[in-house]
Amino acid sequence: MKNSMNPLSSRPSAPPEHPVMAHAKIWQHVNAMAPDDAAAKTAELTHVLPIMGALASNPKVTRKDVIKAAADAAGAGAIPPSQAVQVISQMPQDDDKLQPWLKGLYETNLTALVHLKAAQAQPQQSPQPVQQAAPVPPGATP
Amino acid sequence: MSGTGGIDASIPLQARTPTPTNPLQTIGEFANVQNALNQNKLFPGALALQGGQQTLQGQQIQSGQSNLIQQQRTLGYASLVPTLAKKGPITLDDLTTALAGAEKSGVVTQPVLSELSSIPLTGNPAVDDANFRAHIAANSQAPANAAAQVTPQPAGGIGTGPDYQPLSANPAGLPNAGQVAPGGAPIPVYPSREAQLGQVTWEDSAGVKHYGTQADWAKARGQDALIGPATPSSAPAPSLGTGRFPTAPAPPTGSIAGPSPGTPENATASALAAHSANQRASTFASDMFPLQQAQTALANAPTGKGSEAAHAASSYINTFAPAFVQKGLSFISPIMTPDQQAAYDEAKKYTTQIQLNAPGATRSNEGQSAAGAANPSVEISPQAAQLVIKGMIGLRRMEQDSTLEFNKSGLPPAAYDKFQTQFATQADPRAYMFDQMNTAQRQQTLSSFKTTAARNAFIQQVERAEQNKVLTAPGATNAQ
Repeated sequence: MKNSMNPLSSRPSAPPEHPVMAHAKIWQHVNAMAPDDAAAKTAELTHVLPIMGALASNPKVTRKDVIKAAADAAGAGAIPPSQAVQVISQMPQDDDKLQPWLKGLYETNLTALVHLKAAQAQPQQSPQPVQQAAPVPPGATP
Repeated sequence: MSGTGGIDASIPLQARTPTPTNPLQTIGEFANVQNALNQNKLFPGALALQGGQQTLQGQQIQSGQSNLIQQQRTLGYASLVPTLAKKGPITLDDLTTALAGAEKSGVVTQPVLSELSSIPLTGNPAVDDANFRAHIAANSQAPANAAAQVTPQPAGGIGTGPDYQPLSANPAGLPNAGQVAPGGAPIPVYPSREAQLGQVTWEDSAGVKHYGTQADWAKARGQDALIGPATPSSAPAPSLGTGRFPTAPAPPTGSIAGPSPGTPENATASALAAHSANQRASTFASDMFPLQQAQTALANAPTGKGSEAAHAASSYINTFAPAFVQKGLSFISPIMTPDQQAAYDEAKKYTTQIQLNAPGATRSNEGQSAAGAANPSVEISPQAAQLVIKGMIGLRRMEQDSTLEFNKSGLPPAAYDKFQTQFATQADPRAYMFDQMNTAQRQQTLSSFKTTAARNAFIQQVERAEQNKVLTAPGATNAQ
């Protein structure tokens, strides 16, 4: 069944992806990352996420605000300059679509940070069963 | 690492769908439609029966999914509850770390993350902390408990003397958790029966003024309290049978003047006194009426020792004798004219009312006798009665003015005692009789001040009493 964005199409359009599905895909991707990359990404998102959230919460956010925030993050060394350029290039041209785009970006990266931290957390060790000494038969020397 | 969403190009941005769809439902509906078509082709009558069964199956799937999502959501928020115990502001780092721990334990954190991402971030740690706390508290428990976590809860109350002030405390979900603040309007506490009797003032043998209820006055005189359980009095009964005024009581011991200043008991007593003063102030007009009426009547009534006999004879004659006899007898004898008789009756009525209002007057015959001796009556000359009434009017006006001035000062009820002490020290009772003085008397009063400052202060007091409508304004004097 092909995806179709035309509501008048005779072919039924595919339902939008379930949010849990996206959540699972991010989890898959994070768990496929190398440990060093995961640690670096965690530090990067820890610094960038509050800024991204503040931008997404501002109903009057402009492209200039996003560009300034990306440039500042790159200048502080929190993200690579190439990533800052990529984020800027992906911004929607229409200001009305800027905040929804930022909200989606923020939620995705928030999910990724949680997955990254979970992946790097030490696994909880189950308590080892206490080994009891074998019973000594009566009359036997221990 | 780069790509759409900042992580990987293969991961599309998560679309924000207001109503998540169930992929299983989509597959099920497709299959059901196919089945229905097949059934209709093969077994036309069975379609209706199958439709009901499929609806039930769809509902079960739907409810199962929603139950599962709700369970994961509850577990996710439960993992965030420990962050509420953090003393400092909760940050995004704290939340993601807590959720990572829950995810490591097998909890699907998607429902919680979806809701957390909708909390607006302001960049202000205090504001963000408040928003996080409110959201976690609201979503981590039942709605009723959640509401209790973000709304001030009743926390008892304290008595402030005349009122009871309910208190409320901030729960953990609010900023300044644990802070106690007034919760609602103060509830008036019904005054005690003693306080309802109103405040009276008296002087002891040393000339020290005291303020208190009539019960305090009675106790100072060695008498039992006017109301309440009877208590044996250790003081000797005053000698009222000699016709003399009762001896002044010894300076009272104990806490007649009240607890030590600055203590909570003193503040409570002061607030009660302020309440009683305001209650008494509300009866100013009715208290003044008999005094003023008696004053007017005494101006025409021939009172004095033995006037009762003349009044009795006059009443008889004016009732039965012809008019010319009445006029003739009143001209040549103590017989009163009808107008004088009426004035005498009125004076007697109002002076009796004044006597009955005196403390202890209605308690016993001795009390009434003492009240009659200590208050104006038709047994004394009109001039003496006028002087006494003027003094009573002046004192009542001074008491009223002090209450009005305290209310205007804006001071708390606990400061009433201190205010009254200061007021009584500076007030001159003559100011409250100024409108009843003739010109010569006023000149004499003003001349009695040794300094200009003292005279000006007296005049200001008179003007203030006029502004408070306690004193009759100039031009409307009823000076004798």
